[in-house]
Amino acid sequence: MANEAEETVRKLSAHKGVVGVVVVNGEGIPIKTTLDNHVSVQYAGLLGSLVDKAKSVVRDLDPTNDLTFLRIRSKKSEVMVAPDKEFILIVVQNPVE
Amino acid sequence: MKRYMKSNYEYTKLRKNFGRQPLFQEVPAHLLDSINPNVEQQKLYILRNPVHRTIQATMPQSEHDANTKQLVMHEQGINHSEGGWPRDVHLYNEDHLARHRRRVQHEDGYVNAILSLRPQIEHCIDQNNAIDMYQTYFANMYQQAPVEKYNLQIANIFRDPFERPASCIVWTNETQSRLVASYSYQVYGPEQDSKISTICYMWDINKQTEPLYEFCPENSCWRLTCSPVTPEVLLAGLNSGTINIFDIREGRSAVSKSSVYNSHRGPISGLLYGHSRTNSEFFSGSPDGQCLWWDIRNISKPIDQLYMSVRHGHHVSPSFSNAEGVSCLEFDKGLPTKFLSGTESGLVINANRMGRSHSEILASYWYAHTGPVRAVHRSPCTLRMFITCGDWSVRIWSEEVRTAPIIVTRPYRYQVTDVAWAPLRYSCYMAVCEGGVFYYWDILRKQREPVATLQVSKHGLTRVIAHPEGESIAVSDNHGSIYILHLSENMTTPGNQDKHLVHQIYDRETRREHILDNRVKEIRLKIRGEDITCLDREASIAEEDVLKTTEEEYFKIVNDEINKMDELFTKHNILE
Repeated sequence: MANEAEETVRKLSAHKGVVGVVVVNGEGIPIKTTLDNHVSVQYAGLLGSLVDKAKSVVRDLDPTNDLTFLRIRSKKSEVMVAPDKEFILIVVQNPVE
Repeated sequence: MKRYMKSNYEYTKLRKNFGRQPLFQEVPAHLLDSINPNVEQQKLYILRNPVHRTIQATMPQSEHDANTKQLVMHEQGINHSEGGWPRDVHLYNEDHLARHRRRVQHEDGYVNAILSLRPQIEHCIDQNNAIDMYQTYFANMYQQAPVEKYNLQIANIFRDPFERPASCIVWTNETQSRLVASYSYQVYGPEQDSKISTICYMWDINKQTEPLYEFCPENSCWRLTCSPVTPEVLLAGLNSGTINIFDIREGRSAVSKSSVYNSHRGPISGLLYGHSRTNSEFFSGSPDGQCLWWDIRNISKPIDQLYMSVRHGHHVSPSFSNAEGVSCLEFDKGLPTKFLSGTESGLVINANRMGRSHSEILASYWYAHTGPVRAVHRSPCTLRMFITCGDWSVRIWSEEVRTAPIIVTRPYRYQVTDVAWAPLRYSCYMAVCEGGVFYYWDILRKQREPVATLQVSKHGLTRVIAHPEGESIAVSDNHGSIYILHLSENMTTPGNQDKHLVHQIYDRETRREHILDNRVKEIRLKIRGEDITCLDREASIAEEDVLKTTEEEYFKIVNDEINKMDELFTKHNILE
């Protein structure tokens, strides 16, 4: 089982254009990351609170609704965040075009 | 300062004497002590005079304030660089960190989370790789021209109290145009009931309750026209064929009338101002077949006369017997010596006043409609193009093409009673019909159907006339109501390329007709050529054959008919 998770993370980071993959737990510590430490810690800390805020926005507007995915497009890259009950999966990708 | 002397008297008493009540003795008065005033001491004192003393009669009060302890606040940020690690894991110990991480990775929750989040994130990664979603699309497209919305609205209704059908409406030639309307029952026959009123009205378009002026011709008025110079002068062509001139300033009755003997023999169906330096010449047409020219200053007799006959033989002179009745006239200032007239028989005749002989004057004609031509108008864009309406259709013609109209549209459901070009917008015209519907066509935008229609009235509409500025259209109906329609902006002003495009359409259609015409002629010539050669060779034989076959056919048909009749006859006898 743990191997599958490893495999998954490895495959994700092998996709075209993907810069890095970070898995963050509920306390904000990067559990698994393909980037170096201080960058992962930055992503973990900053995106953790952003995901919380986004989640609260969605649920405030409609309590039956829930946040499924968050995509942040910037000039140089795109950050995709998939929240879960305890963990957050973050993928940073550079658009190939 | 001397000490304050106590005023106490101390004495001792035995205890055993306590409790004994004091026994008072009456003693005579005797001097105990005498203190003489001390002059030395007196000198130390003076009398205080005056004495200032303030007194206030209030309740004694006191004040005391207290404050809570001040709380000093201070804002300070904390940079949380890393944290969240459980207590037993030290941040600087890499082994601990790694161990903790590995432990978490082996948890079920972690694995499930990763596996469940994977598809979605893969989908998005692939999406990003496939297309650039975030580009600005259509950045290079030109802005589309705004869609033209056609809007027709009935702005005002003027009703005739007698509900007679309106025979003619005109706008006066002034800045604040007014609408003049005449009403008559346009039926041919003996003079109508004198009970039917002949009053005509001049309306102010802002006031619909009652007309501005009224005027009373002696018979019912068929056509009206306004003087171009003096908007108060109106000309009326009447049912009896005479002309009445009205001046609004003078009063209700005609200022001058033409004599019945000199005027038309039928009701006047066309009345227009012609071209003259003094603006005093006008001409009229009537179903009796002649056009008369008049001078407004003296209408006791006409100045000129013309028989509208085109289909007479070579040696027959034009006269009443072969003249075509005029059903409408058209004159344009741009062509001062020419005019168009539509006839009762469905022709449109192009007339040139400056011709020397009759055939030169009535230069050409077109077979326009089956039935009287109700209206003829030249296009404001190209004078060589004119529109006619009659029976159930509206046709656009070119002066250069004799054989066929250059633009035709589908026949209408009801008879088309009047048609008019939009004065400023070159590609548009308006048509009204017996069904009470007003159609607005634009030949550049839609060729097969009108661009806007409006059911104006329950009864048939009789006339349509546009105000020279194009925004208001006056439409009259069979029950005497006159409707003012307002058109939206895009229906009154032309587009940028409109004039050019309409010219192109005209040229193209004319050329097409020419080509078709030429082709037809060629084919006809060829056939005739072949026929001639054939006939030369087999003329006589062919003729006899033809005769025989036709004879046989004829007798066969006759015999059939006779047999049928016999059968019927016998059947009839049996029944009886």
